[in-house]
Amino acid sequence: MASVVLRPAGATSGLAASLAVITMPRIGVWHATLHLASEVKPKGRVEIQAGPLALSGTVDRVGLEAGGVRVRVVAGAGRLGNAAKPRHYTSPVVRMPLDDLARDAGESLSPTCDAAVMNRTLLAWTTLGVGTGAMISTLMEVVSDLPELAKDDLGWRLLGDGTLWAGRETWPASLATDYRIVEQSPEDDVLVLGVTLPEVLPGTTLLERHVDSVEHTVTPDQILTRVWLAS
Amino acid sequence: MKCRLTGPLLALARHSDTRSPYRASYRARVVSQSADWLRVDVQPDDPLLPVMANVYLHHGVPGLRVKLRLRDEPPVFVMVGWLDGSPTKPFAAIWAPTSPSNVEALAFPTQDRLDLGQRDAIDAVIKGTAYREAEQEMNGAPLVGLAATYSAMALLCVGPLLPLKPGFTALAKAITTFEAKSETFLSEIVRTG
Repeated sequence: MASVVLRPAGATSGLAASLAVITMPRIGVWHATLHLASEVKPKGRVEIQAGPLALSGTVDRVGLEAGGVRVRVVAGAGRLGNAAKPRHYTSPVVRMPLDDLARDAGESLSPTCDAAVMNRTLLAWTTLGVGTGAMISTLMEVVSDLPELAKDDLGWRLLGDGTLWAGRETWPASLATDYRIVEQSPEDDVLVLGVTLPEVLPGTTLLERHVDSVEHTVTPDQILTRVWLAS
Repeated sequence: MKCRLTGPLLALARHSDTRSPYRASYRARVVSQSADWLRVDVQPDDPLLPVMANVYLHHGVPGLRVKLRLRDEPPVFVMVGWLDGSPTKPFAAIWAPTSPSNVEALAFPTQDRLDLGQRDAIDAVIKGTAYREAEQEMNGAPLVGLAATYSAMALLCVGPLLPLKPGFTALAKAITTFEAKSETFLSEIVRTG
C-alpha cells in the first residue's frame, strides 16, 4: 500500500499524509488535498509522491486543523487561475498563443505536446485578460472545431511533472492491473476501484473504456480510485 | 469585488461558456490602416483586450472601401468583435459618430456608379474620361485648322501688319498648348458639395 509524502521541491524527505485526495481531470488542472501531522505550514513549490505517482505542484492554501495541517496543492506553478496577458496574433500556429499563455502564468509546455496540433495555423487569435485556464480551454475548443481535427478527442491538462500538455488523446492502456471494483454507477459512468497503487490516469483506457477524470483517495489503510469514464 | 459564496458559481458559469466574452463587441480607437484600406490596427478601450492588428473592416456596404485620415484629434472609433464568437475571426465594424474630416476617400472597386451629396439633385456625375476623349476628338480638326490659320496669318503679317504678328503667333500657340494639356486635367480625387 502506497503512502503519500509531501516534500519541498528538490528535497529528499518530507511529511507523510494521513489522508490525501488527488483529483486529476482529463481537461484542466490536477489538485490534491493532504492532511499532514505537522504544525509546519508547507509553502511554495512542492512534490507529492504517491507510490508511482509523482506530482509537482505549488501550495495553494494551507490551514491548521486539530493535530496537523490541511494543504491544498495545485499543479505546476498554480497560476492558471490568474488573468492572462491580453495578446493578439495574426495567422499564428497554435503553439504561439499556448506557449505565451503558459509562460505568462509561470508554467511551461510539456515536450510531449502533440506537434500536429501545436503546428496547426489559425487565421488569428485574441487572448483576452480573463482566466488563463479558461483561455487555454477556449483555444483548444477552437482547435477541436477545425475540420481536420473534428474527429479527434482533443484535451489539455497539467501533467504530473507540472508541465502543460495539449493535443489529441491516444488513450493508451492504463498501467493499473491490480484493482477490484468496489462500486459502480453505470448510469453515471462512474467506477470506484480498490487499488494497491494510485496508477489510473486520465486519458487512458481501462476496462475497454476511456478514462476521463480520476480521484485517488489515499489513507494508510486503503486506496480508492474514483473513475469518471468518458462518454 | 469577490464573494466567497457567489464567486465560484460565477466562475463556473463563465467556465461553462468560455467564448462568451467573444460574443460581445468593444469600442476601440483606430490607430492605423493598411495600404489597401481593408484592415485596421485598433486599441480597444477595455484593458482586457490587447492592441489588435490587421483586423478586417466590415463596413456593412458591399464592396465599399473607406480611406481614413487618422490623426490624434479627432480620433476614429470603431467596434471590434469576433464572427461566430470565434477568437480566430476578429472584425471591426460600426463606426462611432466621427468628424467627416476623418474620411479621406471612398471607393467601390466593383461599381461604376457613385452618388454622393444627393438629395433632390438633378445633375449627374459625368463619365469624365469618356466625355473628354469625345470632346477632344470633336475639337481636333477645327482646332488644328484654327491654329494653322493663326500661324499662316502670322506669316502674312509683314510691313504695316507686322505689329499683329505676335498676337497671331500667341493665339496659335495657346490653342495647341491647351488642347495638348487639357486631356490631363481629369481628377482622380472628387469633391462633392
